[in-house]
Amino acid sequence: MAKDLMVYFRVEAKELVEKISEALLEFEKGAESEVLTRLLRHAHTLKGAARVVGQKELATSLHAFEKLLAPYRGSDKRLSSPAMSSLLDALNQISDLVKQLNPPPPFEKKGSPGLSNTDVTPLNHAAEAETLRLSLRSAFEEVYTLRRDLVELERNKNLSELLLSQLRTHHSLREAQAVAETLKDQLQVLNQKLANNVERLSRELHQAQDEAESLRLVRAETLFPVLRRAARQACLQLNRKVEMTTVGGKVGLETGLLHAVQGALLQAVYNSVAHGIEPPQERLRQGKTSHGNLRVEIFRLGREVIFLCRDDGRGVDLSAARREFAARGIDVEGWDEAKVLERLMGSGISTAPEVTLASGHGIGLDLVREVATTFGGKASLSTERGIYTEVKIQLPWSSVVLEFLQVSTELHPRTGLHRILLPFEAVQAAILLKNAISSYGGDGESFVFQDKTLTMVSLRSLLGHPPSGENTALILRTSRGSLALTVNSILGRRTGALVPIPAWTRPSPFVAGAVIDLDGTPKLVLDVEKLHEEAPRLGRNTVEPVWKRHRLLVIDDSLTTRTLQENILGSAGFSVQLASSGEEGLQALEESSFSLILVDVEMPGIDGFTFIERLREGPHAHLPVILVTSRNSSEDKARASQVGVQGYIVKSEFTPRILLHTVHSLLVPQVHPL
Amino acid sequence: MKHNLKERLAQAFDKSFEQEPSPERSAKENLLAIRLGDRKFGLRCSEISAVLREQKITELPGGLSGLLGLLGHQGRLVPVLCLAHWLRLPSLDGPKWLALVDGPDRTQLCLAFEPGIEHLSVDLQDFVREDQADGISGFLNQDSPLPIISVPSLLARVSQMSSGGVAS
Repeated sequence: MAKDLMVYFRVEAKELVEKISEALLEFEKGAESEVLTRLLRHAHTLKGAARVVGQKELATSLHAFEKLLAPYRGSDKRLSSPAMSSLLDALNQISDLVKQLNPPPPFEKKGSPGLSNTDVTPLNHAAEAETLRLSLRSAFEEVYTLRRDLVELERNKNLSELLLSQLRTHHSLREAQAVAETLKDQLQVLNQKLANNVERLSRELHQAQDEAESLRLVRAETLFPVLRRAARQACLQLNRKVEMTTVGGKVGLETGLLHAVQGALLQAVYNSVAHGIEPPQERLRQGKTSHGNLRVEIFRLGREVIFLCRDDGRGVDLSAARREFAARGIDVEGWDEAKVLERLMGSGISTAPEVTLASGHGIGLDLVREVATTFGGKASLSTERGIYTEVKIQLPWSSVVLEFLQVSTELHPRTGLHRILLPFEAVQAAILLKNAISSYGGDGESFVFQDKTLTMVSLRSLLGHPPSGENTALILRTSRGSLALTVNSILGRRTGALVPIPAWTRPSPFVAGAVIDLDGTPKLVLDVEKLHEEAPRLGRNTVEPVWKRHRLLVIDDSLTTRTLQENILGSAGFSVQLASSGEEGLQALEESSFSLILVDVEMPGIDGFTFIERLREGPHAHLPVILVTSRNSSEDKARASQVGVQGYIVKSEFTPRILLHTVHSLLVPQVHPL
Repeated sequence: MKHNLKERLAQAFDKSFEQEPSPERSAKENLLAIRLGDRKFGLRCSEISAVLREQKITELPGGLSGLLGLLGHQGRLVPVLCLAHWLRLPSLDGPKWLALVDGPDRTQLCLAFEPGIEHLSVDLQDFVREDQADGISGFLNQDSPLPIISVPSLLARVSQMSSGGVAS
């Protein structure tokens, strides 16, 4: 049988087993014919596919599964507990057979007796997929280099055309002309060929990259049916009633991680059913509902992905745990509740009152902790006697793939567009502002959204640039509430894996990492939790932009012009000193230091040109100067250039934007795209 | 006849292992001459993994002094350092080429310099060694002495500045 066919079958079989599992649990709740039809259809599809690839045993098991369901067709009969138990056993057998289609998973861990990992999604080719993905990235980088070479080739072609036109004027160089003609033709052909090849290669690589990504990543929510089935099975074994709720799970996990976490969550679910949730009569006596509640949540918070398993059962008996520690010769004197719980994770001590088939061996919590530490995270246990028990696994989000909202901010023209990513699920709303933000007062800024005043942070300011044209406010949801972030534009959604930034580079705390584009460009990802935490200080010291530290000298005899410039520059965060004449300006230079001077031309006393000439002779000769004048003649501009003026603003064309842009261009260190 | 030739070649091949390595060949070192402003420096080829050009660098808010930003290389984030800054020279404007160097624990970083490189194969005897102060390990004796950059010494300084991150 073709190897390729088996690859497809493995994927299809895994998906169908999950669908069968979901439908079976749904059917148990209420015997709806539509659900039964769906359940039988999935089973039948898998049976047919198994026959095609020669998996006879699997096909036979599916046939037996179908036969178990046959009596429910066309009737309102509900599933009895023994019938459900038989169906689950049959499904486990099917799941086992599907699992055997794959090579052994790389993460094999111990588990409680009676807890088979037959439900665990096998992990195949994770390492190969990663290698493939990295190779594809390198290939993409090569493609983009090739594209640049194409541009160079085009330039050379143009050069050959220029050479030709020159040669045409010299008849004696006819031979050279013929060579150049040939050269031009060959370049033309080569150019076209290369362009076609690059495009084709690029398309194929994109397709392969998508396939590699899908091979590597699986959404965490695919764990839910497996966990539900496990809970159901444990309930049947132990005579418990459980209502299970699953929340979140939209994050993508690498298959290796998914497999390991699944093992840990299975253990946590079994623990909850086996010795967390009380039998129905006991619950009723305690005034609880007869069925226990089990909630599994998977979500991102800050730079972590959280897996929670919480039950409303009897909680952990900490006194019993203390006695158990003491019996093992461990001194528990002075241990508070947190210490006992911490030691329970990975102590090998069971929280169960008695050993059962599913739990009570003290291995479960150990497995949960081991999975967490294997992936650089941590596991914890919290409880309240008679109320709840919660197992929490926190893993760094660098091992998952997330959905982002891409936003942009146009920085200085020479630095180009800056694109930043925000975790998509943190974005609550996007609001178009009536007036674009042109200045930013840091911590004093606020924004009213749904009758609540939110702290407002400018994305451009975060990146060390003055705000300009930020016309959209994004409302970001964090664990502290909401926060408004102003941006220039929204570019859309995208997914990606977060790559951590080496800590030694000392990035700002609100930068969580980066997602690398296919052409190799990193896009920074903001940590909205840290951003909110830092927001009150952002206007002051934490990320004080370089431009805000500059002190400017404004020289103009007109009070209105001076005040206007002071207002614009001051509100943009600059420190401004005013002078009403050239002489006063020279005096100010002797008393304090400045980063830049804005000066008028026509003033009483020395004029602007003379001021600049004297400035260039003194110790502050290096200071950049901007002329702000009503003169607009070419002679004036030539004179300005002669005395060494860096910026020239004509008062009739004066706007706050032009002023800030000119000042900014002379003060912010230039970084050029390479 | 053919058989003799084969034997002779086999013997010559075996004998070649008995000979000492050619002093001429072993005493050579490959350098890349690079430019920072109006000054030229040498980088040992053995200390760099690749030369990258025309890469897009993403600025990093905050960031260590002398850090130009980050670039993506083969799916990993690579910090880019301004070589001029770390050699205590005025920082450079304009496009840059990058020397990719290996850090510890399979990490990599880039050192940025002005576009263009020149390959030099030089005699070891022409080196004048000095203490590795300011990232320079010595000079190549030529018409105007060429300072040779020591990448390990530079990395140690970066590590020191970043409180022991990069090389520890």
